[in-house]
Amino acid sequence: MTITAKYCAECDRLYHFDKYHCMVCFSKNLEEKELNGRGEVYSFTKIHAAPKRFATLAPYNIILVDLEEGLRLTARYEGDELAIGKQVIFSEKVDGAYVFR
Amino acid sequence: MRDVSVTGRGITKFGKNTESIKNMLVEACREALIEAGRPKVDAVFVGNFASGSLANQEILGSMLTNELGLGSIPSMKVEGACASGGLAFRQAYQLVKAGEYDSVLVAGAEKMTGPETETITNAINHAMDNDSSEGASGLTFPGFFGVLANRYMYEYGAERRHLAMVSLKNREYAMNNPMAQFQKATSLEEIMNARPITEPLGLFDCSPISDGAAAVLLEKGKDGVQVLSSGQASGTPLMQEADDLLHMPATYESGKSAYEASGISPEDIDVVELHDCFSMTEIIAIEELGFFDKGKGWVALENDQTKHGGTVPVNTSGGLLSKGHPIGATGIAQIIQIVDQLNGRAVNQVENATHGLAQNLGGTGAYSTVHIFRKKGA
Ligand SMILES: [Zn+2]
Repeated sequence: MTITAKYCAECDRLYHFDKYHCMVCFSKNLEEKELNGRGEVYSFTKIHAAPKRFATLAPYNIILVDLEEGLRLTARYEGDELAIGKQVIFSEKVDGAYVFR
Repeated sequence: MRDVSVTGRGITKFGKNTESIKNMLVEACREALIEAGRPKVDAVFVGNFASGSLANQEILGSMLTNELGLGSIPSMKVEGACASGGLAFRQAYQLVKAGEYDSVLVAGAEKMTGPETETITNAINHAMDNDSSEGASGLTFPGFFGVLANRYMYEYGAERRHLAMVSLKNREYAMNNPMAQFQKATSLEEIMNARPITEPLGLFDCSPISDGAAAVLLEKGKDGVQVLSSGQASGTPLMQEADDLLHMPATYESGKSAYEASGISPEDIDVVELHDCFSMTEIIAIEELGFFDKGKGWVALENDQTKHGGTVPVNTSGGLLSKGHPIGATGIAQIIQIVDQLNGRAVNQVENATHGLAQNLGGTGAYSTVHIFRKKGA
């Protein structure tokens, strides 16, 4: 599944979807850009002690993933053995969180 | 610009304390003011993170000024997550140095026990940027350092046991500190087999939930441990926006400013208190502050270089990991340990220490302050 990101054409900079403006030129005219949803795990952790909101999910995996188009994203991961360098694919957005498999 | 010195210090025992945040603050401030000979105080700054949500109390500055009978002098609370104390100290230092005030009382406090653990975890998570998909992912505050630790080990060849060595060292120092929360002996085995919190970090790799208060009096002149310089910097509160996860720019930049302003270099520092909110954080900090090369902090642990007799003893108070981490009090408590070291009356005294450094981190690298100190008359 694709991931929607923001893009400043003026600065040729890719941003996370929740950005309000371009941090370089201050333009609010950010385009939406579809990313292919593929990436590589930069690092990860398995969280056992979770805040109330995520308690039913625990333990759960958090990954920091380098997307093919160059954006780095914090996401959840559902699946077996995690390792740095593992190839992962975006599956769905749940309550604002990106979930990869 | 004027000379500025710490002329009095006071601290409560860290851990679970049945006293209110107000009473803990009064206790620490009384001790500091009595030690300083009760001089006239021109302002009161209080470092605190979450007294509103954890202790149902704000207006700490005014409340404390009133309880101490200081009349109508200016007061305020300073918030910068775990760096609240360091930030409050820096504001006081700059204003005394500039001549605006002759003396400022700087306190720090947090009352964390009482609410259920989930409420506390929730409050601590306020120290991250939650208005983002990162916040929605379920990344926790310790989780950030778990992600960092896995990459650090992968990149530089460190092992799980090197993280445990930080926790063990700080526990061994805390065993001699009557103000510390944890004084029970432990072992590498116990640390490595403890309950996981966020892999690879376990219970002993994480600073605890603590109550406590600490205070210092800053006065113009040289009649005390002198504050030579102050550095402060900010960093991104978002993990996904860090240029290099293994580099903590706020720590590096605050250190650089403080070294430059004092003319003191890392080699001149005899004793250090730095922000070990997690075992991993201490390893990053000893690198960023220039005591060891990038990627070699774990080697320093392996070779006992951060203990007495090594390159520089780090966290001789027991650190946040074992002395405890009442968030707003931490930055002031670190400074107190350095002041005690330079006054020759510290627990785990480092012999002939003349220069010390205290580094206080807020959030996951969001804020950092560094202060450099010199022994009176040195
Ligand atoms: Zn732009």
